[in-house]
Amino acid sequence: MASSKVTEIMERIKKVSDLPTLPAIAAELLRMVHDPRSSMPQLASIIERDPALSTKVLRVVNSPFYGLRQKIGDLDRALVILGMREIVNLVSGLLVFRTFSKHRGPTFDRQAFWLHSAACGVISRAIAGKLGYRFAGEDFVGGLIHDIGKIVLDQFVHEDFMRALNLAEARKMPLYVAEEEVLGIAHSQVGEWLAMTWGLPETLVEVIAEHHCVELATGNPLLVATVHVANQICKIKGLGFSGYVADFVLREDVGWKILKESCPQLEEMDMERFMFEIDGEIEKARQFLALTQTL
Amino acid sequence: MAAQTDAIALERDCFNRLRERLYARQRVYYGDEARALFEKCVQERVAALNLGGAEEYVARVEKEANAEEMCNLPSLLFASAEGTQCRAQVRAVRERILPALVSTRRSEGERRVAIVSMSGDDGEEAYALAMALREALGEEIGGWDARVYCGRHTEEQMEQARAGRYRSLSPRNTPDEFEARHFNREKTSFIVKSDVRSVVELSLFEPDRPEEWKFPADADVVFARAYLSCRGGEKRAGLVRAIHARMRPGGYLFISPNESLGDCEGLFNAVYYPKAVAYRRI
Repeated sequence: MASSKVTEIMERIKKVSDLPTLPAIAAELLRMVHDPRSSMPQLASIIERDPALSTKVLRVVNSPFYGLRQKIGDLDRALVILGMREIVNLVSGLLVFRTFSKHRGPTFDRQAFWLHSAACGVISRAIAGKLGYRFAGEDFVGGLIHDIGKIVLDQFVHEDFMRALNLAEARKMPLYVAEEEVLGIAHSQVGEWLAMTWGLPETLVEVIAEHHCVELATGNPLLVATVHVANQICKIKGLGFSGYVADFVLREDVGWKILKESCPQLEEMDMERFMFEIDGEIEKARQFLALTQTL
Repeated sequence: MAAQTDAIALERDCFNRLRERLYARQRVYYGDEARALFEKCVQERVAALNLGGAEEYVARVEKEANAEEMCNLPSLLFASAEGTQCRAQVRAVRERILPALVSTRRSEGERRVAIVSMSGDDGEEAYALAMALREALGEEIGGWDARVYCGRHTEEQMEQARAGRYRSLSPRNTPDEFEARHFNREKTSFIVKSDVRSVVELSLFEPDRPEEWKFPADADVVFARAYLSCRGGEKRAGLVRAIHARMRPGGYLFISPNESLGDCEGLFNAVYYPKAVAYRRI
């Protein structure tokens, strides 16, 4: 059953005529950021072609989200202060958010979904900070878009997706397991396909694909593990979006073990204190959403 | 007599220093949203101690010699904050811990569950846990040695707990459907039913003398909210070890939601539930 059901589901999705497409500006920026000949003024001018987008970027850059001491007045300065990859990743996240926020499913609570996603983004960033790693914004954007597959399933395979949601609640199982049982495919794989179709960087594709099965990540396991742990923390903080929230023992989590292997000083970290501090991070997620939902 | 002070505006630096001091000594964390609460409490302490202002108070608190002052501030903060709420913790016990525990005990042929409530409240915590126990065991409860051992620090607390009477805004730790099952109504009061009371064993206990505790030595769940936070340093560590010694391996300890257990290497592992954390006894 499994592979024919998967094929059927994916064919249904691929045939959808109004499947969201990422604006061309995203692909252009992603191409440029990996081109050593690209300059910051060039990147800035591309973003500025979309005034609403560039305004949002500046609002986020000047918000507590980044916590910069000085106010940034233009994109050129933002690129200098934060770096090209950070800004391009932020723009990608905003564009994904904007692309999907136009679509409405019948029962999908988009507010709850995006709060979970944004919280996962800020917590990923906070974890990266504790690790001492710089993911150049991929931690935040990875967290923000890790569940985009759910939107696709909700929008275009709605009844089956609802069955999976109900099954997850009834049998107290993770949603992705219920999806595999009902649909033959999990939201992470659907999201992976969409991210590849959109031409998102491989690192982000892998986050979307493996954030539940972090042990399968090979490209950037640290980034995937970071988003995985952040996702778990969101759920136990009451910011899970769907499915049963299992008990979470950090030390036994496979993602945490991956992070600790790479960063032994995590063992000495006051995790209890970090879990308290996360409540402040979650506030940044709310502020981010408030900023991005206007304009 | 201390003069009434003007309202105190707590600078960010003072707030952070106080917060860090509290955390280092009492393992209680206050987020940024608590700054207004700190201001109010600092104002009271500045007036009571006849000090010049917040900076002077913070400097005083930072001195090691003022360990006693470290108890005053958390007490004021705790009384004002939502520290007495533990809905998510009781829910974790009711929906996750007890069902699994009862199932395991049943399969092993052991009919015993022991829960300890050490928080110095009006008995609400103990009765909420007793209700959870009754829900988990249902009609079988008569065939089990299932008890909530409720220790109270003073006679007054004992009397409040014995009365089992709560106002309309209480009981705060039980779901609405429990009202009909476990309470009798008398005008605006909720009175805990006798079958719930029968599960609770009340006793006076001296919080700082574990050798005098009347609790069993095989507790499955211990609630020690608002208990460790006023006890810092070695005294606190000793009490954590004493609680650990009275718990079964795999048992669950709950403390205040904004409190951390600290260095419990080899003693406990943190287990996170939706909006609650328990410390599982190793």
